[in-house]
Amino acid sequence: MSRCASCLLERQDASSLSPEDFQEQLSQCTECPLVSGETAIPAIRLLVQKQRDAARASRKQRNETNKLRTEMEDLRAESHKYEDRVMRLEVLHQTTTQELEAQVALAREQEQTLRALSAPILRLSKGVIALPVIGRVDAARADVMMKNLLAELSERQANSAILDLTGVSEIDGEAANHLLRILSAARLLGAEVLLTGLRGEVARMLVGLDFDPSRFTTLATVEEALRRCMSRARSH
Amino acid sequence: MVPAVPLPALESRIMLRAATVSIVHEDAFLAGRDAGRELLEELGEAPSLVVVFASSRYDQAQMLAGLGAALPATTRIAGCSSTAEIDNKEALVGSVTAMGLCLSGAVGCETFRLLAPIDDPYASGRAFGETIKAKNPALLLLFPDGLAMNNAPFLLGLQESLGPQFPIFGGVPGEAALGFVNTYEYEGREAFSGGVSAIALTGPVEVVTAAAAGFQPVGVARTATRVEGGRTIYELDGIPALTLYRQYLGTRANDMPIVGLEFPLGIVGGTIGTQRLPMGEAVSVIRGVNSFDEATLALRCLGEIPQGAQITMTRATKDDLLRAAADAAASALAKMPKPEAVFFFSCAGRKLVLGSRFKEEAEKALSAFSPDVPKIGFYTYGELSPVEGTTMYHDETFTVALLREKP
Repeated sequence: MSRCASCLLERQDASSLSPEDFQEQLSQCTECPLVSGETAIPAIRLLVQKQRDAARASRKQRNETNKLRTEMEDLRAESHKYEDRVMRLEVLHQTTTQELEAQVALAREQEQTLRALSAPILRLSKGVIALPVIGRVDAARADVMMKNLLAELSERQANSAILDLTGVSEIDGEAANHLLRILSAARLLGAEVLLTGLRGEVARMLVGLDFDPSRFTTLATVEEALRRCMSRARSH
Repeated sequence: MVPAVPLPALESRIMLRAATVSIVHEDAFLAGRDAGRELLEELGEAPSLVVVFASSRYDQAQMLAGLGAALPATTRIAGCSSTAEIDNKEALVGSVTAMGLCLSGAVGCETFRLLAPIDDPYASGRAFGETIKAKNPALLLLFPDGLAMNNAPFLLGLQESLGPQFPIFGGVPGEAALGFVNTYEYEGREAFSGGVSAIALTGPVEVVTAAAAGFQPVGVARTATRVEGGRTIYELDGIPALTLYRQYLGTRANDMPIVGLEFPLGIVGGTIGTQRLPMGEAVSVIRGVNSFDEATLALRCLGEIPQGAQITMTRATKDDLLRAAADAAASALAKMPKPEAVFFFSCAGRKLVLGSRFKEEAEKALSAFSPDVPKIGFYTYGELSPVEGTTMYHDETFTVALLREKP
């Protein structure tokens, strides 16, 4: 094969080509008689070979740069998606928290109403009040019961308080202690405390604690207790 | 006396020579051209076949023109567009990734194309299969368009011609932007949409495959009691499908399309085509939920859901997905310890779910293989891989295919 009519190495514009374009064009010169075959000039063959190697290395370098650039763009897009998602989750979290807070507030309000209803004080006659206890007595409920009972004793100037436990089928140590606190507090205000509706299980639990039966009058029913209070009032 | 040079043992001799390159370039023609040139440099000779997966952000015709210009006319080219690509080292975006294969005399290759419109996928699949069968193929790499065509009946038609257990693997062409607008298939030096491209290898060549998704079933399996058009589920156990999906996901069900990919449906039993899936708790194939219809309370899936199939809701963490990729690679490698070429097909939905960690998936799978073994893959709009010997369409699954020339 003969040399090209416009050999890159002899062209006027070759010096103005960018290094990449020069390398690119030179790498095509594989069939040139100066590069291959019997007429090849070793120095030119070496030069072209080295140029080709350099062109490949440069291509690989450019490729790596492009890959990194593309990867960075992709990561940036992913980051935007992620941020967007986090933002939506934050809104969801905020909404959920607000809903939960409203529910908790409502639950508290309902609990307070329930507690007030769970410690009703009945005025049975002049100077006689009754506190029917139904269900479990925990510390919070005991506080409400005690507060209501003591307030009623002093406001009504009652001298007898009937604590009716007919609605308490079983009781644990903690609840029994709470009841004893209520009874002791009523006694301190000078009221006679009458216990009614005491069941076996409850009695067993109270005896196991610091319960002194002589300090309280224990009767079977509220009716009996009321009768006793009335007769005491008459005798005074 | 010249000492005799011992021939390498048959087992250790690499019979199928291949190399993979990936190029990222602003110019589509130059990206294709540089990929072709690098393949020639790496292989030291012109490859018989080039399998190419390229980002859809490139001008596809220009990219193939560049690739074709760098390679001799005798080199066959086939492949498709992709959401992301996998080369020997990593998963990458925006590249032209190509594997060149120099086939020995015994192993040959043929490439095929089927152009749009494909009005009757089953009949077209059957006819396409007959054309391929005439070349006496040993296995088939398939790239069918998933936007214009329901792949399930096409695959069924193909298997009708080639046989239900004929080894078919590949992926549904993807898009870089995940817009579900236009995907491309390549065959020869041309790109087209809405069709199918395929590569058949002939001669003494064998393939093993593995697939794993990592999604775990949640709750009880329900029967798909009303499905229309193969891909729209109206009712599960007689209850509107969207109602159940919302019960499961709450308000997040509205966050389509990402939520439909994060929480796909799993098929745990039933029949797809002619293949009866094993009944049990394990998910056989995954179906991503593409969209929903508020008026009919229906879920539209990416892949076929046959009426009567047993469906479960699924969930997975990112670590579950990454573990599945490693499991699939290990499972395939256990079946073929010395592969000569490795193919990965992972779902674009997995890339979306994994987000910035998507490269870890390829890392997990790539690390299972020797660095010397050429590997290529892409992120697809659906994967084709066998379940108990019969190739099926999968969603959101990581699939592996290992290839070697029979010793």
